[in-house]
Amino acid sequence: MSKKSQALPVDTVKFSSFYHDAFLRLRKDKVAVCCLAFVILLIIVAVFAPIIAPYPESYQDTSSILSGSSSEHLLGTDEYGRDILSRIIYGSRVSLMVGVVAESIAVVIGVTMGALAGYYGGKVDMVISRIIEVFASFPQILFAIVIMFVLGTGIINVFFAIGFVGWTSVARVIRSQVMQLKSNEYVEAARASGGGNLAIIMRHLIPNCLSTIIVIITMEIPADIMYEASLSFLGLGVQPPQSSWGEMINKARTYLRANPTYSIYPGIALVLTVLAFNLLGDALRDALDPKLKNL
Amino acid sequence: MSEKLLDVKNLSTYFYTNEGIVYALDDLSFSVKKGETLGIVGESGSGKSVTVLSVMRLIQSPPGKIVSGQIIMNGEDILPKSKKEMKAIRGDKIAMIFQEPMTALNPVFTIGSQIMESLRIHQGMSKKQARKKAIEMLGKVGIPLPEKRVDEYPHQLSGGMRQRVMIAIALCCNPELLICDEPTTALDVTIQAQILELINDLKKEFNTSVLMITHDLGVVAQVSDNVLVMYAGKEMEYGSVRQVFQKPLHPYTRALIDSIPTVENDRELLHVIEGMVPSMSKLPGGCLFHPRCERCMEICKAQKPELYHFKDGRRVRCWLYGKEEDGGDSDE
Amino acid sequence: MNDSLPLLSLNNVRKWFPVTSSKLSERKSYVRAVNDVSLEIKKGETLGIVGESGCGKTTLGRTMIRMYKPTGGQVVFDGKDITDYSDKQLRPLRKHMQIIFQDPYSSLDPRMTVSDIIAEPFVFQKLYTKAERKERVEELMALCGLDPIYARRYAHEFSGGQRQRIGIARALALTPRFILCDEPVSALDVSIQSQIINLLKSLQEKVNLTYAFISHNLNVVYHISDRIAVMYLGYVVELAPRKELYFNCLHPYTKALLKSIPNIDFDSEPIKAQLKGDLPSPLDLPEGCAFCTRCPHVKERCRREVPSLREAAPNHQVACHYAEELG
Repeated sequence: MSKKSQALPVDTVKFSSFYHDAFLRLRKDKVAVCCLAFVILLIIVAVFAPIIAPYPESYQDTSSILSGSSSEHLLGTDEYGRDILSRIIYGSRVSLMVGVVAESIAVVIGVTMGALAGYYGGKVDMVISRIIEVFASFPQILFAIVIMFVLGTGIINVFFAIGFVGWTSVARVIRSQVMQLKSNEYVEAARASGGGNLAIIMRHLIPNCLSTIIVIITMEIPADIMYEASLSFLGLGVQPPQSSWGEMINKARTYLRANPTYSIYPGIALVLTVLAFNLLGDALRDALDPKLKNL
Repeated sequence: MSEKLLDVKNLSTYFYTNEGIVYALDDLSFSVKKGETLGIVGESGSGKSVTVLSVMRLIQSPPGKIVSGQIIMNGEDILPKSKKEMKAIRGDKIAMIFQEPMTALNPVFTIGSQIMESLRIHQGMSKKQARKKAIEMLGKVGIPLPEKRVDEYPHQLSGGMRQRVMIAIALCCNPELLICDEPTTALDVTIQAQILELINDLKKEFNTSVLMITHDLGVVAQVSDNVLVMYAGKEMEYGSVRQVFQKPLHPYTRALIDSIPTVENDRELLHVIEGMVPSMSKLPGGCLFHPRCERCMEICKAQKPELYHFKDGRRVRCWLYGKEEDGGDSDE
Repeated sequence: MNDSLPLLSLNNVRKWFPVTSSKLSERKSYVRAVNDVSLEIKKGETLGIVGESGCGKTTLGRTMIRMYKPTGGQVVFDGKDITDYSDKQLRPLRKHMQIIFQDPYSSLDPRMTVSDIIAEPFVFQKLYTKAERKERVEELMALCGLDPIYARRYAHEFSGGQRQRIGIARALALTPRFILCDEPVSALDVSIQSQIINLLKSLQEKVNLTYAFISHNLNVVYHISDRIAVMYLGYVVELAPRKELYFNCLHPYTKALLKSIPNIDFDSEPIKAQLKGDLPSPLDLPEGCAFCTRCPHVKERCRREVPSLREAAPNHQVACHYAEELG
């Protein structure tokens, strides 16, 4: 056995995993980097909210009701004298948790259904596709409202409502990906070595869908955040004194004349977050696309 | 001695990528005379496809760029031509057929309309005239019942048929130069024989010069007059097919010929070329082939050999040659 | 060295794929990928299977190792009739029969490291401890000409030839007795093909393997095989030892095939197409000999009657009514 045929080409001496390459590509996109920074900032703010927020969430400063920006209350106060900035900071927790928890539920259901439909095809696919269609044909927000009525209000139930409703887009994409992937020869190779169906799905198909899943999550989180905002706006989401951006925007309606910025600031927070996740998702999709490797 | 149709001089094409500059073609020179068939042989990474894409000015820019050289067609350098001028040349004066007929043909248009498109754009024919010519071309390339099949779609034809349609599209405007980029690699061997025979017949009928790109030495031998052997973006050897295959000069050419299993070349273990084609962004110093060359000498590791011209027209880029006794002179 | 009992034998094997039609009432039609194939592969032998696209060689290969279930006929491996084995029954047999694929790119999971890929069969068959697996992977890599220090690399970092070596190492992991080589060098550069062919040959001796080698490249098949089967539209039309096949072929299709290979021998005639037209559709095979639509010597009997594979010369089988006259 000649040593020469064992040598790798010179330029692969450095470490090169697929995700490493993707990260390098992502780094080049300035907008993506900004969005990523924003998301990280958001996470930090949410995690360290009690430390960062100038006032506790439900602290009422009765001396300044519905006041505009001041040195004590940078973004003003609401109708109970609670500091808007602090409530926005605490509200970020709700938004992020909705994103994470609701999406996790959606992904678990969606990946399972999609993978089974895509891998087995035939009757299994037919049944699951019909289920997907039924769920997807409901206007999602309406569906979420119905679930909330059934389960009762409260933030935990919001997670379930949104997750349970949002899995269809995940399922559809995973289904078509799995259908494509299963014709790869490494799947045949796994079967030829004695691999069972479940093992093949778990070891080969789902990991190869990972980049798709990451992109979907990133793109769906803004939608989930908006649903939560809508539900809370309608009074079905978080309950006082807990704050969420949607809840604040709802309450602010009544006081638009007295303190217009009361609704604007949470609105800005919402818009920026949704935008950041959307743009990041776009950039991730490009970065994770192996066809763009090296160019 | 007929005149030169295509004269490529010192062509260099580089690709600027994240991982560095890829020297796809480096200082390549060759020519094709009127009525001649030149075969360009090389493996993956040799730069053969980049060569023809450069000649056609079809290099994606960015990241590719033709950094220097001249491409002289009929006495005129086409490198400085504008995009508009090139569009007029492509399909009309220079035509190309590709490896994968399914992806080269548009699946949503009939094969007739794809032939007619070229005729109407380049020769200004009316629809009626173009259709007539299209049917004629389909007949010429050996498609049975052309009047019927002219309205069929690519997916209704077999691989061999589709390749014939591609040839029809390429030849319908009677180009001076036909470039074939691995035209039979995706085809079965009996269909390949049909296509090669067709190309041979048609090039005589239409008096077209052919540039045939392939990795298959047998195909080159059957179709070409002369052959250019490429490796890692550079020319390694040039000569008539008979000269090069019967008496190869460059160790790479020789090793390539030896490593192909044939019924005659029947031994226990095949001759092997050790190692791999180098990555284009990290080329070895000295002669590009030296890490894999059986006859590597000290000078090969240190210095790049120049192209050495023999008096009989053969060329080789190797330190084994280049002495006055060989009866030739070397490049500057 | 060679046992008298064949390792693998196929008796009248047939594999047809139903064509799913959109209308519920339409009569079912089948793609007749493999038709009535009977052959044997002896221990330690390499059987080459050649043919052009649509001849059924890939399907035959998969059916041989029971990745497909035959529609008809019998597959016997090492004396056991495995035709009707369930997946569960086949699992322990997977140790003995393996496959090397054509495409070095789609045959390796891009998310897995080399050692994961090679060790996966151990995971499926529940063999060895973690440490043992690591050792075994390194052995296999070395056996296939790969430096074991690259075990934690990802497949995409390797060239086509090296990826194929990884695929071979994976196929060897369970110490199989039989390997189906499905066009293992067709996607590789010419100068790499010879490396891999030599590797396969040397492994055969070292590890005591029996091969079925599928390819459309007649020269490669000639080089590596002991006997060669030529397929056309799902039928085996000729089966003979390699030299006998090449120098004394009897079937008109084989003759056309051999003459179509472009060679660099300048003293032979320039290439001429041996066959006209295209392959008939496997959905709609001729009633008689599958080759009758293109055979230059076709006669009435050929159109009516399917010729069976019979011995026309010592150890040389042909499926042609007129093989002796034409030979």
